[in-house]
Amino acid sequence: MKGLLEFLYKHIHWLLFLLLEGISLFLLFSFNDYQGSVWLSSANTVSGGILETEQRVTSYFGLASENRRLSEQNAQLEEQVLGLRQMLDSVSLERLTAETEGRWPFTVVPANVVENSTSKPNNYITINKGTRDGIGPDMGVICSEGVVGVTYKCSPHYTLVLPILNSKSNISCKVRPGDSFGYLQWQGGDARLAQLRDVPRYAEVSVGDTVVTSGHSSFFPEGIPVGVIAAIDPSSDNLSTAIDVHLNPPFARLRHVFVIQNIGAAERKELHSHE
Amino acid sequence: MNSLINRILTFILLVLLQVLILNKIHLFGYATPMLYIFFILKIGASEGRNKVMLWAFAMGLAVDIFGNTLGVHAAASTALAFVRPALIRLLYIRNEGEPFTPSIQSMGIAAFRGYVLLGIVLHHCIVFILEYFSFAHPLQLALSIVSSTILTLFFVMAVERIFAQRQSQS
Repeated sequence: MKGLLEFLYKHIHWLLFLLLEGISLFLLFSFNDYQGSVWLSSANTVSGGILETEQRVTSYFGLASENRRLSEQNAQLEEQVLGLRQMLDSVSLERLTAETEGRWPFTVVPANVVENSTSKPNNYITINKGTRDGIGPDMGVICSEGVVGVTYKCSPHYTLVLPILNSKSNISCKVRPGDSFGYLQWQGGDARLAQLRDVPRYAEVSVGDTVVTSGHSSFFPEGIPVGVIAAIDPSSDNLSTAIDVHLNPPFARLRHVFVIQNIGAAERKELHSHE
Repeated sequence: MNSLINRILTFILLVLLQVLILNKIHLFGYATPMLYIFFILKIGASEGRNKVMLWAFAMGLAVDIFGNTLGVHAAASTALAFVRPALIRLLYIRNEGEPFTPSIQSMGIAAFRGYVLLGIVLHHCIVFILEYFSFAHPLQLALSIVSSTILTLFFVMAVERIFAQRQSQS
């Protein structure tokens, strides 16, 4: 017994080494499984706060281009408003409200990007809104150019977003024109290219067609832009085609995003819980 | 006591430097310097291995939390701290019990560079293999390891030289 204890004491650094490596690997593999692991990510209060302060300082350097982008977006929206107002003149308001009621069960929460990476095999984005702002997991995140990703883990003040640029991301999309459906996935490497999978072979798609959200999932409304088809190759199983999609959002310099809250989804959930 | 406060301050400084500035460098799309392991490489050789491993684990975990790579840097840093005594023994013959901190002055530039390089290669291999967690992209993996090793080596040697100069002046 004494010999055993002596042996253990002499080799205690081996035990500690294996213990620490065990903890590391456990954390590595269980990160996806627990919502509570948000406290061990950049969305916790301390790291989120530090990264947000840094972002506040560095955001001043990009103000000129950010202003230009916003005014361009403003002009586009203004144009749309004018067009819609003209259309509204020709339709009576009562009929329109009756027709569109319940058609748009989404609200939008603006947020700032606090931390962002694009070069890792699995990237995450941290934004400065959390459960206190009504954000929960599995909500769509977009920017003015198009789809960014889906919320993943939330702390009270910050949220970790699973962007398209993560191997776990899987977004239901369709090609316009033609309405062929597929799933958008990312294989690493270039942050501007993703792959649209499971598009049937008979689908008529061509380079330059736009890819938008399908509206099949409750994360995104239908028709939010994702990207443009860059190349088409028949995939190895000969049943579907693999399509390279040039992504619209500028992931490397993402600053402002919008979280889409699907009010309909909450309603649906509530209905199910009352049953 | 004083040295403990010093070490904690170095710890915080290096973590912040790593997560706020160095993590955003991606030279040629692959190379990211990981200067924070300077902290592990420079701990005195007379310190207990268990203590160094715990420090290294904490350091790696801090970098992981900010970078959303939970477990990756913690595993690599712990392994580096574990093999560190062997690396020192391999490259430098010293009298047991004499206080010794790895540096250019104490080991000579060639031995110190060798020690740092071996440590970085081991650390970076673990980091990138765990991060990619597949050998599906062997070229990307190899490019990341090699380019980041060169960049980290450059940063560590530069910081070490600045320290050495300051010490010789005072």
